Amino acid sequence: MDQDKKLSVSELTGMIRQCLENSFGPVVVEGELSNYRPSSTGHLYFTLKDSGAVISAVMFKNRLRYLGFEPKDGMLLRVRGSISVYAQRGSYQIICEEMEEAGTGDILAILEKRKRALAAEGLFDEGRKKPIPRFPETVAVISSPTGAAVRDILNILARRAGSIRVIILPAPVQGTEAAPIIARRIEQANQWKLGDVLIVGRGGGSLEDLLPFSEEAVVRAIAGSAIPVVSAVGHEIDWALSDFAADLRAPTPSAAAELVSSSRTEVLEKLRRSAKNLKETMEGRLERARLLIKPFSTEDLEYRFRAMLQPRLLRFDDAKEALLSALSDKIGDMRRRAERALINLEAANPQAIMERGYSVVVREKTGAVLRDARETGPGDRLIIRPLRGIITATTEAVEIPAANTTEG
Amino acid sequence: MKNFEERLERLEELGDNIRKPELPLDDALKAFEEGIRLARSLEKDLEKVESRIEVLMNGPEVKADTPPELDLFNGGD
Repeated sequence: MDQDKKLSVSELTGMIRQCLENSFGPVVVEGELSNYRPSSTGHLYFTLKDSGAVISAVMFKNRLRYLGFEPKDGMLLRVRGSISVYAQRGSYQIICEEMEEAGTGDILAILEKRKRALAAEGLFDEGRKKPIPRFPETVAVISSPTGAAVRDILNILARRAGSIRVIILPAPVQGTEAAPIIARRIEQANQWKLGDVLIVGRGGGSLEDLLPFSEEAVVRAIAGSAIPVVSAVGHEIDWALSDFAADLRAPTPSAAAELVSSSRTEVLEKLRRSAKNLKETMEGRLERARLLIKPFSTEDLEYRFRAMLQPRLLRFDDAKEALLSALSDKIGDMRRRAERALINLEAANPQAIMERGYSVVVREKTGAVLRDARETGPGDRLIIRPLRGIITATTEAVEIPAANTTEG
Repeated sequence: MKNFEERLERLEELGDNIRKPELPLDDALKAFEEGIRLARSLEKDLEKVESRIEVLMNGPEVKADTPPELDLFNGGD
C-alpha cells in the first residue's frame, strides 16, 4: 500500500463533499415519497425512491410556506434542491427548496413549450415593456369582483392613495371560460381608455386554477395592450405566462397595488415629511425667539425699569430733604444768633438793673446822669429815679475814695 | 429745560449752598425758592414716568407695527 496517499476519514469525506456539492448544483428529482416524518423542530425528513434507488431528503422549515399541499407516503413528487454531504453520518441527501406533486409536470411541460413559442415571437422582450406611470389617476383592475385580489387591491389603494380612482372590470379567473373574458376585458380597457395602468391577476390557487393567465389569448392581449399592465397572479412563488408578457410582474395583487401607488406614496410621504420638517423648524425658531424675548416680558421690563428709577427717586428725595433741612437749619442758626443778640441786649437794659434796686441819679441843672461823685457838690440839687417815682434831693457832702477811681 | 439728572444735580447743589455759613439769608432764600421749583418739576417728571409705566403695563397689546417707545430713555421732554 502506498503510504503517501494515506487519508483520514475526515479528509476523504471532505473530498467527497467537495466533489458532490460542487459538481451537481441545483437538481430536479422525481420519485416516490416514503418514510415521511416531520420533525418536532419543524423540518421535514423523508426519502425519495424509484424501483432502483433511494435518496434521503430534507426540506427545512423556512421553505414550508411555499408547500401547497400535504405530503403523504406514496405520492409521486418532484423536488428541486441541491446535494449535500452530512460528514458525521457519512451520508448524502438532497436539501429541497421546492416540492410539488409530479402529476403537475405535464401541465408545466405544456406551459414551458407555449412560453418558448411566445417568447420566440418576441412577446416577452424587454424592449416592449412600457414604463408604469408614476402617478396614475385611474387604475383598472381585471379580476374576479368577489375575489380576495380585488379586496386587497382596494384596501391598499384606499390606504396609500385614496385619490386614485379604481375601475373594476369583472372577469372569472378560473375555468375554461375565464381566459377569453380576461383577454376581452384587456381589450375593452384599451378601447375605452379605462385606466392609466392595468392590474391583471387573481389570488393564490392551484396550478390549474392559475392556468387562464397562461392562456395564449391573455398573454397576447397583455402584450398588445397600449395601457401598461401589471400582472399579479397568486402568491410569491406562483407564476403564469401573463407575468412574462406584462410590463411589470407583481408577486401578489397586494404588491401590485403597492407598486402602482408607490411613487405617489413616496411623494406624499416626502411632502408630509417636508411639511412636518417645515413646521418643526419653524416651531424651533419660534421657541428660540420666545426664549430670547423672555427676559423682556412686561413684568420683567417693569421690574428693570423700576430698578433703574429707584435710585433716582431716592436721590431726589434726599436732595429735596437736604434742601428743606438746609434752609431750616440756616433759619435756625439765624434765629439762635438773633436770640443771643437779644439776650445781650436785654442784659444791658437799665430797667432790669433798677428792678434789682438801683436808681439813676441826675443833676437837676444839667439832666446829666451822675457816674462820679465828683460831678456834684454840696448844695447841688439831684433827681433820683428809682424804678417807680422820682425823688428830689440835695447833695450834702461828696466823698471820693482814694486810689479807687473808675476813670480810665 | 435740562434733563432730569442735571436738574437733580442742581437741586443737590442748592442744598449744599444753603448750608454754607457765609451765604446770606436772602441768598439762601433765593436758593431755596429755586430748589423748590426744581423739586416740583422733578416730582412731576417722576409722576409722569410712573403713570407711563402703569399705562404700558396695563394698556392694550402693543401692535406689531407700533414703533417701540424710546423717548422715555432719551432724557428729553
